[in-house]
Amino acid sequence: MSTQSFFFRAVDHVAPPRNWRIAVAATVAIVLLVLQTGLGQSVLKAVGFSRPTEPFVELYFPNARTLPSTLPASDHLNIRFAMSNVGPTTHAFAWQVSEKTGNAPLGLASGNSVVPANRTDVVVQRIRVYCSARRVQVLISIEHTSARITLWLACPSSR
Amino acid sequence: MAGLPELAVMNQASRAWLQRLVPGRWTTIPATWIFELVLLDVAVAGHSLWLLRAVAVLLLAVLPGQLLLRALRMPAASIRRYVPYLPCASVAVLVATTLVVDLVGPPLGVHEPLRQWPLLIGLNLALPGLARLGHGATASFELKSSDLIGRARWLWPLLLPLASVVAAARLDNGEGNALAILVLVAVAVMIPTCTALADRMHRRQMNLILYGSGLALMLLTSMRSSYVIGFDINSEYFDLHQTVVNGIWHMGHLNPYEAMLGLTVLPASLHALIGGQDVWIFKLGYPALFALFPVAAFSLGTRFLSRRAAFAAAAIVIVQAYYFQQQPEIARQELALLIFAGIMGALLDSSLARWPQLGLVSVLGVTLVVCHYSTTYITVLLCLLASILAVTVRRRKSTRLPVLPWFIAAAVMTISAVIWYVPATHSGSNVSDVAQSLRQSGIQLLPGRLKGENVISAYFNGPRERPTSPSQYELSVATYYAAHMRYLVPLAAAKNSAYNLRAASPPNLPDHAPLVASVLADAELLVQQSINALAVGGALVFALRRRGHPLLRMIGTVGIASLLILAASRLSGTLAADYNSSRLFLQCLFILALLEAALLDLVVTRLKWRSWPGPMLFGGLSLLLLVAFVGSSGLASPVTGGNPPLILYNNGGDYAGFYPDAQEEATAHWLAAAVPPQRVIYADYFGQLRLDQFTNLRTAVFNDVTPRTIDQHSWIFASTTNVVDHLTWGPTNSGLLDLVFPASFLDQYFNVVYSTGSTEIFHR
Repeated sequence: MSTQSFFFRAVDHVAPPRNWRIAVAATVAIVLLVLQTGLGQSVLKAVGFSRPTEPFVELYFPNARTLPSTLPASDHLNIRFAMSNVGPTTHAFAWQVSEKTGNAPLGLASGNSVVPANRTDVVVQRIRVYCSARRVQVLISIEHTSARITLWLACPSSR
Repeated sequence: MAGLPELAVMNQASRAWLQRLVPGRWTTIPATWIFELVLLDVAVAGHSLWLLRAVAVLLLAVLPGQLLLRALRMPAASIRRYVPYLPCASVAVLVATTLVVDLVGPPLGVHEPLRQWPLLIGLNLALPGLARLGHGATASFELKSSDLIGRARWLWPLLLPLASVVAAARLDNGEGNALAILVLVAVAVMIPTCTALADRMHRRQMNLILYGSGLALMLLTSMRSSYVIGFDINSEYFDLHQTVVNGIWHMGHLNPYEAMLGLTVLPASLHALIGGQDVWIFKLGYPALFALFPVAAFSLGTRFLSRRAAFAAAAIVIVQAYYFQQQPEIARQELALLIFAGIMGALLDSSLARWPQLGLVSVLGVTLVVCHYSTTYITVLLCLLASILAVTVRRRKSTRLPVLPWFIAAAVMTISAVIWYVPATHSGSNVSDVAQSLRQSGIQLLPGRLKGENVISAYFNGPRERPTSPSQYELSVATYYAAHMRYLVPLAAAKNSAYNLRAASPPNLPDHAPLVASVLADAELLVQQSINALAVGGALVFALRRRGHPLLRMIGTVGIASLLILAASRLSGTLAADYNSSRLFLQCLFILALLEAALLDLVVTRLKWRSWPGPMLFGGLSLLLLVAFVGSSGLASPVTGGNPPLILYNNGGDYAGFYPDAQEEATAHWLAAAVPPQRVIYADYFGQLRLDQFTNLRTAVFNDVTPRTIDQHSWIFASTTNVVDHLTWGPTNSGLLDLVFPASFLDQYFNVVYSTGSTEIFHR
């Protein structure tokens, strides 16, 4: 059978090849059934069809509407932040709280949080802030990710 | 495959059993629909199994339409020659059934009627009802599904859409664009090959080739990302999702999107019946329906043109970026244009008796009204203008043109529109907006015309504005906000020159071959203008012909009506601003493409004593279309560089603006949960789309993310493009301005209250 006669049929001659249709329908049915099995999913993944979402972390202030804007006179501040693990497996996050100064950031606190898949961990930390200017920026970041949140604080006027 | 003969025997046995089941006076009703309805019930009930989901999709596309068309006494032969009747009719039945279930459900105690079981019960009442109306129809009205396909081996073009789906997923996963390029090349090769072989191929085979090619091209766009891709489709999807979540749709005071059943009730119903994620209805379902648009052009063409010319007409539609890149981003219009094609097909179908024709046109007209307002307005205008022109150009001794169905179609749609848009949904704000624009700004004749420029040049150049610089944009929006939005208070530090807006480089590929790119762009422009000129010539020739097929003369008058509407939109700045001219162009192209091909066919027929005109004219046209396709699809971009198309790359302007990711979804959800009711939000031109798609944050959201316009107590949504690529956009009259995202200003004066690493939210 030539390529042309296979792919392109002569005009207006339609025989009723019922067996062909049944064969095609059966093949499609079998393919659909197999694709929904574990084997089929592996095949779809192998050909690049499935879309695995890269896991990521959400880092945020749960009380974003009521964040302090001034550092208390005691220089100590209770800081509260949350990490949500958006991914299929448990993840350990190494977080760090630092104060941004002119050169290198000044570490104020650090720790580890193990967060199960699709869960959130809230960290409450009391930190001491060193006011080196009229206002300072506190930075919370997580190692090996670009996630970071910041908080500007005006230093007490007595300084 | 050993069990296949048994399967065939079982099939025959079940048919015989069903024929026995409905003896006597019911024998004229083919019993297969009972079997298909039971199968539909089983498939919908078990739709978590992909196989049954596929069966449900096929039956929903075919069975309701089959029964409605038989009830209307549409000859099966007419449907076979114009397949789009079938899905159009199915859409009409599904919309009507779902609407009735939605309205009747609550009084009966069903508070969420748009769920699987209420809808299935609705279908189990509606479909037998339609079958009863079809009682007495003779065998000539019985359509066999198998007649629509033809030979099994003709199904190979359907592998192209499959390849597109895999190509889009591979590109999303960063596994390259080789498969996407292969799909584009396959379609590019198909155009000249099928034009050459058209007269030797079967009509149904060509239907499948056109369907497969058109759908494959659209899926390259629509299947990118796990979310919807595009501009309008973000808000459309939100309305669909809300309907799905609520399980009910209410009439009342609605915005235009909420009032469109094609965006709410129908896709929610399809989602409930078919299963899966609701987003797939827009990403896969609607393109699968709209892929019948070029098939409709071809089928209409075969009524009065050679198969080659009819194919060329369909190819003119397929090569347009408006068709395969823009339409998958506008769900409401995909559905509406398919119904429009159904209406045109019925109005221009001389094989239909008067009542079936009027019945179908009325059903589809009402469906169009409830699915999309602007396509409705254009269709009403086309029908009225075409009728008036047909009466005007009618001369003595020439055959009378059948204008009555056109007047009736216009009347049915107008009356339905008034009822639906005013008392039923109060959604006529689009009309009042146009009226207000016209009152305020007038018609704005050729607003882009430069001083000393002649009218023709200004017409072809369209509306233009001088490019705006970042500083001009910054100053103009700051002035505007200060004058009109006094409640927004920017920080004084915003005036610091260190925070002035700066231009950013567009995310283009390096220019590998600028000369080739320039030649290709010029050639594409030339091709488009040639196609436009051919359309004008075709419309005039066929509308003003004294003799000739009445159908062709009527199409000529519709063509002139289309050109008049297009010209009005081009001449008037106000109309152009109120309705996207490219969408209008595609609707009109359905008719104009046929006239272009008809003109070439006429020349070939006149010169039939020579052998060269046919191959030369159609060969030349297919080459022109090939050039247009290479340009519009971005197929040349791997060679030439420049702006990378979304269907081939994971970078570029379209990717930066339209491609949503999981981090943006999470960020939008967090923002919606975190902000108080009284708040001001800033999200840039494309960042707003993420909020549109994932949240109901619509009011008090501003797109000018500039230091001098940002309110000091606002919330600022920074998308992946803003944070990772440091890019934002300034919307100006001359287009979008690529700007550096003002991160330094925001970092200095706002807190970052939320972050995923690639997205952020600022607040203070």
